[in-house]
Amino acid sequence: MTKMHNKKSKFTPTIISFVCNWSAYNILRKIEFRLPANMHYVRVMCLGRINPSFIFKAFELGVDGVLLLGCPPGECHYNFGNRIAEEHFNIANNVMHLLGVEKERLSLIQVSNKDYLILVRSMKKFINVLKRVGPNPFKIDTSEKVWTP
Amino acid sequence: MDAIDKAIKRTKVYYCLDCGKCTSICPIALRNPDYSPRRIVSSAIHGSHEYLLKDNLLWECLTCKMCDERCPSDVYYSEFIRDVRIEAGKIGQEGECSHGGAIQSLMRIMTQPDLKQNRLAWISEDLKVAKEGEYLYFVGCLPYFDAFFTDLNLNTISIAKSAVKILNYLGIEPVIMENERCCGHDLLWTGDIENFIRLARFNLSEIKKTGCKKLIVSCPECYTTLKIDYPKYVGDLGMDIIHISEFLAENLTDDKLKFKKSKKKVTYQDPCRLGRYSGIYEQPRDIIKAIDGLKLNEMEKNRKNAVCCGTSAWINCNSVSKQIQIDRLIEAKSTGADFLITACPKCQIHFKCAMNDRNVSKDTKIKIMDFTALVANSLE
Repeated sequence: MTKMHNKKSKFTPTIISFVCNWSAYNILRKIEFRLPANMHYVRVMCLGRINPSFIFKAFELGVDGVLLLGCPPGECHYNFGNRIAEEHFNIANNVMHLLGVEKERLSLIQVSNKDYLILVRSMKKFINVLKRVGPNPFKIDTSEKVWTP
Repeated sequence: MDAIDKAIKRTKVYYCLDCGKCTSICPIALRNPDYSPRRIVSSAIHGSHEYLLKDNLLWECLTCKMCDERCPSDVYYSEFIRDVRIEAGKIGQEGECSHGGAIQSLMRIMTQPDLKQNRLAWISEDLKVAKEGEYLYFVGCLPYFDAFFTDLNLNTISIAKSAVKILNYLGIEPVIMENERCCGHDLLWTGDIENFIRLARFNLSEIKKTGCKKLIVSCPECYTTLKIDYPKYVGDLGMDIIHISEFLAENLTDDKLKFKKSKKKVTYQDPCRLGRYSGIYEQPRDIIKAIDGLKLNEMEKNRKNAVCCGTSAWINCNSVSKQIQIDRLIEAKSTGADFLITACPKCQIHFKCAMNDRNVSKDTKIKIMDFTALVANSLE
């Protein structure tokens, strides 16, 4: 049990994070993107650009978690982007529940331009939760060929 | 001999007489002058294979089998396209996936054997299912469609509920697999053969584990994949595969089904996979006609000539698809029917999506109902 625990605590999750240009990106730039995880940032002009396919593709390729960082309700630069992002987040969440993927692997954090502490705290919390949940078991092993004509 | 030569030989493409009947009947070629099945065939036979594999028009085909039906030389064009797509997939080519490829990603995630899905939440208390028995019901992707297409008011899961309700009515408690996966139809037709085989092998072993003797399917695509493609690629399931309309038609003759009276007028859309691929034209019509008072108004193009719903396997959904859908909806509306009945959940999704478009006139709007749901609602 302790061995297992040690193994998990050493695990550094690979995370893809889609970052809204107008809020979270500014904060992350200030902290120079230093966070204790294997984070990959994808900067988008609005989180409304993200649709469920981005999230599923990330999981298909084997990331351990997907983080969506956008603006809070009413603060979207384009008025409706965060509403769409929320809709898409909910769709992805529901489908992932059906698939049996842990819901902790996907998170939407809404912060405004000045909420530096809230963003860093929630991101650290997300990383810690992922460390507990463990690696993504749904990565497809494409090295083995199953079909011979 | 390379794989395309083999495909040409297997699907008898070299018999092509260049008569152009395929192009004249093809729903895509009617609306997109760049596309022509005949031209693809001739470029496969006479041209460079490398060019063929990289041709974008390869992914335009609906694989609706309309051309196969008309071909005087018996060329299996749809199967040829499938084989060429498999080869194109190997060099990294793919069609333009609708919905950003989300559905293909879901299917690929489903190839993981360790997945523990929560897909049985729809089985309510009034539906009786068994752990083991003679009949197995294959649900397919129905729970996923409801979760994914939230803007279309689909309720595709009612198809699964209706199927179980009908089986219960006939005194059957079907077995439903907790761990079934997508049948892989869309991966096969978009050239991802590797992941199709993974899904198929998994489903094959799960289905065999249940020990059932008959497999009932309500989705036409699952039906053809399980019945025709699984034996070809992964092995025989070792059980009878029956579409729910076939099963109902068998029971109709025994007077086991009693229907409520109805005053509706309906029209029926033949799904390609059920009609042209499996030859099931009359069974759904027999059931619809057996419902007392329900009037079936046939569309002008019906049975073998029924037009496809515009998109197949979630690729290349574009303005041409939309035109096909609108034309078909206008045709359905012109029959004077109150409901358009279709047996395929994907036809329903595509037509509802077309009607959702703001630019589409109200004249095309018709209520769409699934065949299985119609039967279950009409039972006494």
